[in-house]
Amino acid sequence: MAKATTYANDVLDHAFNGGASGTAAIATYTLPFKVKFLSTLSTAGTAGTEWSTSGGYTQTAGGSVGGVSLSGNFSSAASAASKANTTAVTVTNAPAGTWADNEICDSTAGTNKRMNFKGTPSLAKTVNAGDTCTIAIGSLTGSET
Amino acid sequence: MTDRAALRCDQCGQVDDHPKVHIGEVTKHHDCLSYQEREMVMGSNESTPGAAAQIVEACEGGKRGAELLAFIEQVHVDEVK
Repeated sequence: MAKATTYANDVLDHAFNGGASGTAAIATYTLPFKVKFLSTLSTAGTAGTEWSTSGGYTQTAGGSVGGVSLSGNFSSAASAASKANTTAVTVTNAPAGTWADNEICDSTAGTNKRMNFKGTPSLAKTVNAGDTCTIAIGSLTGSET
Repeated sequence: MTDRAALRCDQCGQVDDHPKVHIGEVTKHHDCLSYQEREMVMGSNESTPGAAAQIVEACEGGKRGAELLAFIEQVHVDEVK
């Protein structure tokens, strides 16, 4: 997955820090992190179009509302500068439309903060109302080089 | 069921508009999942916790097409009560 620009900037400000003393805190991101299901692709600068609230999917809003919570996921520590989901992520009774992309955001009240997104190529899956959409174990992968 | 796309099951090859599971690029009927896929879907972080297991088991029990879709919708109505 790739970082949203806003998140990348927070990571860079944390890692490349000219402070003289104390500890280097990264900007605050609120748990639980959530996965958004998108009908268009995200880019670093702009989130894709999220599925509307319908059937078994609730569009994200401020706080922990909407998306699919990642609480309890990512239970294995990062290794070799990589980390992936250890539990699948599923929407049942999905709304009809296109499943193109996914994005992880936090649960900040008001406006959730963007974090990572899958991006190109588009999954471009046709989804009928009532279908089950699952992100497999190991598919939400991040790495640092 | 009207206005539904006919999709191919990557396991049995049948093309129909029955409710299906999409695991990334793979699409299958709920009762065509491998054991590993079944366990993964049923153990997911879910938008509606517990719904996936009920849907998979209903399909395995013989519900298909419109009957399965009605069951799926009812599961979600029951979950939000």
